[in-house]
Amino acid sequence: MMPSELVPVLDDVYCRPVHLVDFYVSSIGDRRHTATLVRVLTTLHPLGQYQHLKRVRAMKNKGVRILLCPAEPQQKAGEAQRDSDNSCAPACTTLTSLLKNTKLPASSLSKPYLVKVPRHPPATRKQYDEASLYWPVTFHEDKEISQLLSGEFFSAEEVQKIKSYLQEAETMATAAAQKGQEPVGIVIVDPERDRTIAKGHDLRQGKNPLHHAVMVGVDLVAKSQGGGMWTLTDSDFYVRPEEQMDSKGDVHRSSSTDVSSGKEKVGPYLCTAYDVYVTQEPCPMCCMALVHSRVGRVFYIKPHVDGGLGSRYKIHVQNGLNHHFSVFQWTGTWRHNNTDPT
Amino acid sequence: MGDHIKWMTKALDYADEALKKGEVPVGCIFVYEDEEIATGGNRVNETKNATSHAEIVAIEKVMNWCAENGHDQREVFRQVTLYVTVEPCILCAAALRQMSVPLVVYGCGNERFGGCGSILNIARDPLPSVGESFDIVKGVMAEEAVLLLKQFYKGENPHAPEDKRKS
Ligand SMILES: [Zn+2]
Ligand SMILES: [Zn+2]
Repeated sequence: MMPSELVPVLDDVYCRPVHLVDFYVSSIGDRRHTATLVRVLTTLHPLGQYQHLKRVRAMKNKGVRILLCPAEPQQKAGEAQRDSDNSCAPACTTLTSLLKNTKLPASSLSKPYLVKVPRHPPATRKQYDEASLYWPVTFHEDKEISQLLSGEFFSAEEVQKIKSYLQEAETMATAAAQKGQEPVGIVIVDPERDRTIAKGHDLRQGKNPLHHAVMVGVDLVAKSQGGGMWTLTDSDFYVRPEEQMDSKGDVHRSSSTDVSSGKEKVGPYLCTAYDVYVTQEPCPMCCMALVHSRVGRVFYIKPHVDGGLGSRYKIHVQNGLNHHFSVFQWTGTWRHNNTDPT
Repeated sequence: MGDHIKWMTKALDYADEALKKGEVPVGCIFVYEDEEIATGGNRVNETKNATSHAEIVAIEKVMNWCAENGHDQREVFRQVTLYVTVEPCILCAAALRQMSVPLVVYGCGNERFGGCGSILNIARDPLPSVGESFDIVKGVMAEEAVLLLKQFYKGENPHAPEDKRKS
C-alpha cells in the first residue's frame, strides 16, 4: 500500500495552523483554592466560544494559572463592542468579584496578566499537540478525519482501483491533446456496482468554450439516462447504454436527492453518489457542476491555480452549499504506463 | 433603469415559462446592441443535467446566433448585457466570466448557490485563468422573481435541505 498517494483535500478547519488569542490569567497562590475558584469563575465568567480551553493550567514548579477572561471581550449578539483601552480593567473587575464571591484574601491571586491561548478547538491530533504547547485544551477526535489523515483510509485494493480509473482518465486526456484540446480527461463511475457510466475529455477549444471535461462528463451521464443538453460526439467517448430501469439504482439515488425536488424527480441529480476521476483540478464552474450533480467523491491529479477543490476555493466543503463531497488528490506516480501525467 | 425594467420584464416571462414546465423558474435574456439575441429558462429536468441553467442554455444560444449571423462570438460576448431574474449561481457566474460577459443585471439574490456574493464572489474575486471580473446591477424587479420562486416551492420548504450556515 502507498498511503501517501491519495491526499484528502479537507476543510481548512483541519489544515490550519493553531491561531492564538490573548487571555487574562492569574496565578493561584495556594493550589488548594483551585476547585473553588474554577466553580465560581464558571458562573461568573463562562468561557463561551472558548469552551475548548481548560480553565486552569498547572505549571511544573510554577504553581497554577487560571483563565479569567479574553483580552478582547466576546461580543454578545446585539451588544455593541465596548471601547477597550487595552487596560486590564475587565480582568481586574473579574478578579475583584471572584475574590468577593469566594471570600478569599486578595493575596490568593496574582495581578492579571496576558497569555496566548489557542483560539479554536483542535480538529486534528496534530492541532491538538500544537495547541497543548500553549494551554491545555480538550480534544474530541473525529475518527473518520483521523483515518483520512493517517493515510490508511483506503485499502491497497481500493488504491489500485482508484489508480486504474485515474489511468483511464489519463488516457482520455492524451486523446484530447492529440486533437488539439486541453489535455483533461474524465471518467465517471458508479462505485456501488463498480462500473463506468461515462468517459470523455475536454472540448473547450471547439464551438463552446464551456465544454470543460467535467461539463462534458456530467452531460454524458445525463445521456446515459436518456437526457443530455449538448451534442457531444467523439469516437473516444463512452456512455453507458441506457438500460432497462431495474429501479434499484434509481431508488437508491432518488432517496438521497434534494427533498425540495419532490416526487419522481430523480432527473436533476443523476450523478448522486458517483465517483469522478479527472486529470486536472476542476475550475469553479466545473466544481459547482459537481455540486449540482451531487457527486460522491472526486479524485484528481494535477492541481490548478484557480481550481475549486483545494487551490483557490474548497467548493466541496463550502459553507452554505447544501451538498458536500469528498476530494482526494493523487500524488503518486504511474508505473507500467506510458502516459506520464506530468 | 427603464431599459433594465423592460428587459427584466421579458426575462420574467421566460422564468414563468420554465415554471409552467415544472422547472425552477429562472429566466434570462442576452441583449446585444439593444436587441435581444438569446433567451433561456432552466431545462434541468428536461435534460436530466443539473447544469442546464437558464444562463448556460442562453450562452449556447448566443453562440448559435453568432454563427447564424456571421458575428465573432468573442466580440459579441464582450458587448452583451445579461438580464437574469435570479443571481447567477457559482456555476453560471464562472461561465459568464469565462465568456467575458461584462455586465449582469439580476433580480433577487440566490442564498443557496449565489456566485455574485451570496455564497462566493466569482464575479469579482481574482481568478486570472477564468477571465476579467464583471459588473453587477442587482435588485431589478426582485420581488417578482421571488414570487415566482415561491410559487415553485409552494407547499414545500425551500430551505429544508440547507446546512446550517453563517448568514
Ligand atoms: Zn472547468
Ligand atoms: Zn446557475
